[in-house]
Amino acid sequence: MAEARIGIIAEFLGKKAFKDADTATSKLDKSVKKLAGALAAAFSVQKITQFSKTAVKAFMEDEKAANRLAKSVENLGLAFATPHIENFISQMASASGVTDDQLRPAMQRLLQTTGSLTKSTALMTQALDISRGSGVDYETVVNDLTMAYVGQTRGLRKYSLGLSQAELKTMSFADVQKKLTAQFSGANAAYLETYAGKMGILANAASESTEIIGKGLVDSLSMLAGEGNTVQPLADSMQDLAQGTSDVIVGLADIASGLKNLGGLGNLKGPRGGKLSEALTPNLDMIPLLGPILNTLRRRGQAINKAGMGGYPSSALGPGYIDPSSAKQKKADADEVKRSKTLAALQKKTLDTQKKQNALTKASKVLDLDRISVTAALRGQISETDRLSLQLQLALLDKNESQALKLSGELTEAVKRHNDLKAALLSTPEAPNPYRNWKPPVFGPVMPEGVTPTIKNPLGIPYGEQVPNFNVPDWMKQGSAGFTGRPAPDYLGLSAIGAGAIADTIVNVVVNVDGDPVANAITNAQVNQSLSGTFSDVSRYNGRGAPSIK
Amino acid sequence: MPTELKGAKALRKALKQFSPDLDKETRDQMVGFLKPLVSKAKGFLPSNDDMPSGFVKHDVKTATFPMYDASDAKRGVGYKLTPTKANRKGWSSIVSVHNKRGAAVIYEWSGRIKGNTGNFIPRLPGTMVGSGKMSGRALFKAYDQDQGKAKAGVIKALEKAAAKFNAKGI
Repeated sequence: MAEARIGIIAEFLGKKAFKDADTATSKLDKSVKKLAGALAAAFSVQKITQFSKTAVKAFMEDEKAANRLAKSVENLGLAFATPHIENFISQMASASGVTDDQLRPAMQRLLQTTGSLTKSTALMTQALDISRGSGVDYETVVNDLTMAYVGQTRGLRKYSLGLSQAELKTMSFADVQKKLTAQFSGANAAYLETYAGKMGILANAASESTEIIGKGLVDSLSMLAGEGNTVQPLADSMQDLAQGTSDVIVGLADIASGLKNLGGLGNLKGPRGGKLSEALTPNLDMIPLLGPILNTLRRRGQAINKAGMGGYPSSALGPGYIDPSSAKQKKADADEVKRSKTLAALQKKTLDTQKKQNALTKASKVLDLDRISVTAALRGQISETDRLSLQLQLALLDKNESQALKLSGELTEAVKRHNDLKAALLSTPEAPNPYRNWKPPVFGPVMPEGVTPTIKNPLGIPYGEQVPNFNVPDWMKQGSAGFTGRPAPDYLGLSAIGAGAIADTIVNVVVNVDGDPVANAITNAQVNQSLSGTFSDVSRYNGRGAPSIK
Repeated sequence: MPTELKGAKALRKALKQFSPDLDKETRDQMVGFLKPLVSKAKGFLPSNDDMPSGFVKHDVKTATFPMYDASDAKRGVGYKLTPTKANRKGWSSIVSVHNKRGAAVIYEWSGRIKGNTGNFIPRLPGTMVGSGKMSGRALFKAYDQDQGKAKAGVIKALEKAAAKFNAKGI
């Protein structure tokens, strides 16, 4: 639970700190004891036995991996290339610092995928550069390349090639390879210049040495076990041999110590400028009496190894080396090219299908009713906020996030402006009545003197009051300068009365009408009214005859 | 920052065991100095109306974020006269003041690192006082304004108790 606490008074108890210190000291004590024990045991017989076991185990593991690769290569129909493969792996391991335990499965996977030795070796080398350049471990890189070869480029994202997933999908493997080469070329060479790179090569060499020693031990034990070469006699003999080896080493050390006292140890080293292995290999011939014997033994062992009595690597590699330019090799390479083309064609087909799918999706948008209604609404006369709302809806339908965010902001601003305008209008004071000071003229008859009317006329002016004098202003008269200086229009219809007339002039109108038409019209009207029964002076003579007018 | 008083824990323990009266007297003296500090800190906790509405406790809880309730927050402020468990560095607070409510602690400390920024922190009432780990809006503000009077009083009370205890020769 969160709480805020202010310590007014505190005390250092130090319980945990002391406990930690105790634990650390205890651990250190144990470590020192372990180290002392390890040092004491370093040269013991048990240690030598343990090393022998480790070496044999390492060799056996290596041989198993080699056998797996050899079998896989054989099944792929590339048995002829086995020596070349093993040679390539051996050279690569010694030059790169990557152990053959990693290289063999990688080669196996690449061969299974590409079916071509040339392609696989090229990819192995490229994978090394990529691994060094990107920091991703070698096996993962090989796995990614294998997947990319068959069109699955998802794993390539981690190498930061500057390509989108869509671009990676559309690129062919050759293009991907070019991009990878451009980015990581020379990374391995640069790595090997570093201290870590050099240490890696040395560590790899040590590991290989362990395996070689293990192989020698197994061969020796096989020979010593006699016929059958079964495992049990080997296991039984191992302890005895280790003890014997230990004794021999101790004896040799004793002899070397004696030689050192004689000042001849310096001559045990090889000539300057030679390889490291040569420099470290003692020139046994320089040892009096014992030297030639040891050298003879060494040469015999080398001869046995070369003879290939089930040892490494010949047992795993089958028959001898075959020239890579042979017919089979050429056929395998041709197959690989064919397969690459097939894969590229398949990828293209997939892309075409994807494009068609995209086109269909685009076409389906045409029939999108929401989109249609929004677009139609946008064409009409609409307010700013409505237009922004519709555009925002359209952006949401398109899943255009950036546009939607932009429109959302604009819409908010527009709504705010609208609200501000509304508030401003509401706060505007009410306009005064422009006719508040105008008194209308009196209508109706003038009341007799002394009579006060009880009510006012409809315009609010009491009867009898004087009608205000209303004169037409000059600017309203036709022909005046008017407000704007131009001739004023005929506001009062004075032109109908006569040019130059004024509104307050009294006009007498005389109408001359012919009497006959008027008399006929009156007669007709009376007859019509009589016949319709509404005229009171219509009667009939004795109830019969035509009607007459009295 | 707290002041180290070596043997304070042992003294409190000894007082409790061998001189309960003196222990009670010491406690009362310390409480006398701490109570005003606590009251002042409670006073710095704002009411629900002053807080951002979304942060105030309401019937339907909408988030796992602790919700502020002024009365509850004030109940969480108090003092402690018994030693706390030692922290990772081995320090134990013998006498301390605290605020145990999550929402109140949020109010207390918000903006310590990033300052008065964002949508939430500028809306909080009150001002942050102090610097670094001793900055805050309520408890730490009260402590800052106290100018060390409570601390001096507590130390004095403990020293007096130690002198009396030693004089007794128990």
